[in-house]
Amino acid sequence: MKYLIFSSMLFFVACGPNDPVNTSPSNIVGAWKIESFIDKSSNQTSHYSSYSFDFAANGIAIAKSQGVNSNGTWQLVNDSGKTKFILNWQSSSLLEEISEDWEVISSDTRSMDLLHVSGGNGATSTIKFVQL
Amino acid sequence: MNKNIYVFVFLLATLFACKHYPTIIGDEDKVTSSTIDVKVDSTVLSTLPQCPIVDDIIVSGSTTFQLGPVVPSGQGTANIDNNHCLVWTSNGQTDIIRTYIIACNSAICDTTFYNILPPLPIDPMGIPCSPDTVYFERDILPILTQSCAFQGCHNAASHKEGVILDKYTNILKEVKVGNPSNSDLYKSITQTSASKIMPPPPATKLSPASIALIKKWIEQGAKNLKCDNITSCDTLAVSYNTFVKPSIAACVTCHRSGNVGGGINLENYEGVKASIANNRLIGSITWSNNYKPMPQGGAKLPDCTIKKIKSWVNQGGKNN
Repeated sequence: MKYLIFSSMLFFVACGPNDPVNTSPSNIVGAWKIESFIDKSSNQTSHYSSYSFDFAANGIAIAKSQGVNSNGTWQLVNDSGKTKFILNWQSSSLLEEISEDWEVISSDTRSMDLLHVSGGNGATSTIKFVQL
Repeated sequence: MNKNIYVFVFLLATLFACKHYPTIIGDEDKVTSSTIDVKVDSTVLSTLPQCPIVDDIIVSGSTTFQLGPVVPSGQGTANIDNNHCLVWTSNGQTDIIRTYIIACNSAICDTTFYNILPPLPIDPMGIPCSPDTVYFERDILPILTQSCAFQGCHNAASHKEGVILDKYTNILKEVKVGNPSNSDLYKSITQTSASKIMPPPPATKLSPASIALIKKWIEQGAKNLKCDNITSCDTLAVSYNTFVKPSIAACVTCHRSGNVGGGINLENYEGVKASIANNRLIGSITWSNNYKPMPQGGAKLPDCTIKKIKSWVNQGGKNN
C-alpha cells in the first residue's frame, strides 16, 4: 500500500512542471510594472524601475518611461504544452532585453511570473510583472 | 507479488501520462538586410530546408508558420514565402525592424526573433557607366526612338508589320540574344537591298556607329542595363534622417546601448551626435590613422557617402 501512495505522489510531482498555465488575455490586459527581472543570474530590476507597461486588448504593448512611450506587441501562444507570453519591442535595448517568448509559470490578475530559457547555454531568465 | 505488479504498472502509466518535450535550443537573433539568412546549428538539425527561418525545429511539409507583428510598423511588409524564407519588402524603412516567427510541428513550437536592417542607401553617385558596356536606355533606345518608333512606322499605335520598337520588352522580341546576324532588328538595319533596309528610303540609313552599337548590345546579351552619369557628389543640405541615419544603420547592431562597441552608441541621434563631437565617427568611416576602420571587416562606404556625412557634420550635425 505504501508503494501505491508513493507512486501516486510521484505521479503528481512528475507531471507538475509541464502543465500549461491557464492564462487568458483578459488577465493580461491592463497596466503592469516589473517587480523583478533576473537576467541569467544578473538582477536587472533597477533598470526598469521607471517603466510601466500597458498591455492593450489589441495586442499593443506600450512601455512608458520618463515621458517616453515605446510601442511594441504582446501575444499569448501555446507552445509545446506551455503557455508562452511573447513580448516584442525594437525601440531600445532595455526593451529588447525583455523581448522574448516567455513561459508563463503562474498568472492571475495581480501578478505574472515568466521564465525564459536561453538557447545555447540554457541560462534562465525570470520576470515578475505586477499589476499597477 | 501481485502488489508489485500493480505498482510497476502504475509507475509505467505515470511515465506515459506525463508529456515530455524536447529541449529547445537556440533563439539567436538574426540580422539581415532583406531576406533572412539563418545560420543553422548543424548539431541541432539533421535535415535543413533550403531557406530555413527557424533554427530549433526540423521544418517539414506539415510545419506551420505564424508571423508575429512587426515593430515599429509602417515601414514595409513581411511575408513567409514557399521556401520558408522570411521576405521583407522595405518601404521607406529607416529603423531596424523587429519581428518573430512561431514555427510549429504539431504542438511543438519554436519562436525566433529577427532584426531586419534598413537597406543601405545606394551610392549617391549612382551606378557608374563602364566604357566597354552598351547601356540600353542611354545608347540603344534613343537610336530606335528617333529612327523607328514614330507614327506611321514602329510606334505602338502604328506597329507596322507587327513590329513595335518603343520600349525594351518590345524591342527584345526582334532580337536573338547574343546573335546579331539572326536578329531581325540587326538584319533589317544592315540590309543591302533598298527595298528591305530599315529605315526605308528616303529616310537616312543608321550611321555605322549606331549599327555597331546595336550589334555590340545584342552580342552583350541585349540587357536592359542602366547607368548614371553623375559626375559630382551633391553635399548640400544633407539630412540626418533620410541620409545619415540609413547610411550607418548597419553599424547600430554593434553600437547600441547594451552592446556599445568601443563606447560608441549609434542607435539614436544623441549617440551619433556624441560620436561626431570627438571625431570618432568620421575618423572611423574615413579609415583615418589612429581610428579603427569601419564598417569592421566590411567595405569602406562609398566616397560620396563619406563626403555627404562629413558635410552633414560640418553643417552642424543637425537632427534634420
